[in-house]
Amino acid sequence: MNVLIVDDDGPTRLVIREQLRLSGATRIREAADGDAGLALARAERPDLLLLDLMMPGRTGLDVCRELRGDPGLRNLRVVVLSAADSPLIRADLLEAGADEFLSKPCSLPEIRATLAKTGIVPAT
Amino acid sequence: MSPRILIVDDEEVNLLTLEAFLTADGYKLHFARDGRSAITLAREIHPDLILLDVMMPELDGFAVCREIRADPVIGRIPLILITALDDSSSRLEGLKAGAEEFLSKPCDRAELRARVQTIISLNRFRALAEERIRFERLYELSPAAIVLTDQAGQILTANRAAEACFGQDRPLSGSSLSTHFPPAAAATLHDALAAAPGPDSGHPVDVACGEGEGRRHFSVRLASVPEGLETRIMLVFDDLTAEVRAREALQKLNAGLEDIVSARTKQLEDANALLVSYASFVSHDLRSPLTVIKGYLGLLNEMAPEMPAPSRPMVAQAFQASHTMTEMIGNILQLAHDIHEGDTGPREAVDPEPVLRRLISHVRQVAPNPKAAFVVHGPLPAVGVTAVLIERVFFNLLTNAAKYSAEQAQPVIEIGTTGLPGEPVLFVRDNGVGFDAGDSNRLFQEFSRLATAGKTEGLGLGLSLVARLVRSQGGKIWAESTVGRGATFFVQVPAPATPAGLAALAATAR
Repeated sequence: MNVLIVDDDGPTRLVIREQLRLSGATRIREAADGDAGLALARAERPDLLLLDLMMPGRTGLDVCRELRGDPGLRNLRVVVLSAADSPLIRADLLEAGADEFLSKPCSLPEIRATLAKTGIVPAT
Repeated sequence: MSPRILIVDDEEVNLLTLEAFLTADGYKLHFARDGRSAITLAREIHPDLILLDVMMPELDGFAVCREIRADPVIGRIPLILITALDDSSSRLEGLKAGAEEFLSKPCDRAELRARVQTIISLNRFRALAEERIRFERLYELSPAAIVLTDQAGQILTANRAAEACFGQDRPLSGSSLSTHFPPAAAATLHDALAAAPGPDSGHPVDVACGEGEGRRHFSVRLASVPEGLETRIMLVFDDLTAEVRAREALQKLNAGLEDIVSARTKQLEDANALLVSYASFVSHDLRSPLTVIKGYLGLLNEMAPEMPAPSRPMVAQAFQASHTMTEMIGNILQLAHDIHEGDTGPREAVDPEPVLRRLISHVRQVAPNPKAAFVVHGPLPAVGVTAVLIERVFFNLLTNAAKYSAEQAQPVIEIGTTGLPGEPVLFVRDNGVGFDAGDSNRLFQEFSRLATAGKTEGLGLGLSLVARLVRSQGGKIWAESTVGRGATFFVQVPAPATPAGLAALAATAR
């Protein structure tokens, strides 16, 4: 499983990388902002994108919309991570084309359950 | 009215004689045959003159004279003493006793008539003069300012109150009324005079004069006063200055109060908005490092079998604490949002039953308690709050009910209604651990947990959030319980607005 993590917070990227590794990810790439994330997504064509919502510059929502307009990335599964959570935010994300939402902070079981929902990894 | 004369004599023949002398002059004659009855009658009829015989048995003329002069009511009635005693000492005694005149018997008819007429005229004149003085005094001392003008507004006379009111710099009499008032008030008075008021004062007009602190307000009543061929106008000024000042002060006070209230409201709104943004900021900023902490602790927890035995519970507890902290931050943010959003839109009728049924199936999933039976005692009354509020409040109450009854052999959670029409009350009842009735107040306070809650997870924020939310919508929440016998939570919410009320609300919104 080829995964891309986009988050402006370094320590968060590290811990998610570990969690994903334990959840079955085989190749993990990281980006610290939306632009870098978009470029990497297009170059790497990962199976899964773990995308932080609130980032300086291009937000997770912007990145999500942009990727959904790219026919080459039709099979990409997008999971949005955010500390802010509300029905409105979730509705916006669904509209922008995200597959799942993960509320920060998230633990390993939560990540596994979410990955199972996207259908990328079998449910444990 | 013809003058009344009281004739007093003990001899009938004398009475007849005097009556004969005076009868043609148009007087009303009264008679008394002794001194005592003369005094009694005088008090009764108030004669204009008393003709009094001196020589009478028991009370003689001098004694009657003295007694009448000593009387405060009839003391000023003129008296003529009539006697056969024509010596100077008797005359002197009669004058000392207070008699006006002294006539000798037998009387001369012409002299008697002349004397009587003179004394009665003088007395009538004196009475008129006294009355005039009395009325002048009333007029002068009246607290209302009274002014008499001709129809052009020239002042003929003004009383003391009027002089004090607006004639401080010069006398009012002889001046024109309009010169004592500013143009607007002068015009008002001129119009009122020109309207030719009737003999009864009509609608009063309001005028003001003076500036700043010295400004005075009057309500003026006008009435016409015929004087010969002329018509005079009487103006009565009632001083309303004190009332007007009090009213102005009250208005100023009210305006000030409104400013204070709106400033305070603004402050509160700002404080609320700040609270929400602060809570959002704090919770967001706390969540990022917490993601790292919780993430690594979760990973460590997975690797626990590889750790030395003493480390395992430490990691497990730290991991558990990171969950608790996550929940806490979520609650703080929720609290801030709920307080901020306390005031919601129009209160249309909401049927709580479908919302509650959806919630029950949700609670079954998130708080798995397969043994629990949920029973809804319908029908439930329509409520005047949003479905979101029902969802939030009852999600909390149902989760609690499931949690605290988890250890029962057969947990039963009931939803029903009590209360009067117009005050819908919904309740959630469980047969769980319950709580001490004395604790029911602490139940809804922030961060308080009760003794019986010891074995279950929780922060103690849930119920306080629920209570705040219910109260912010004008509702009430309370609970009843006995330890070991379950608990019942009651929520009273506003009834839906009537169609008329909703229409009014919509009209205001427009």
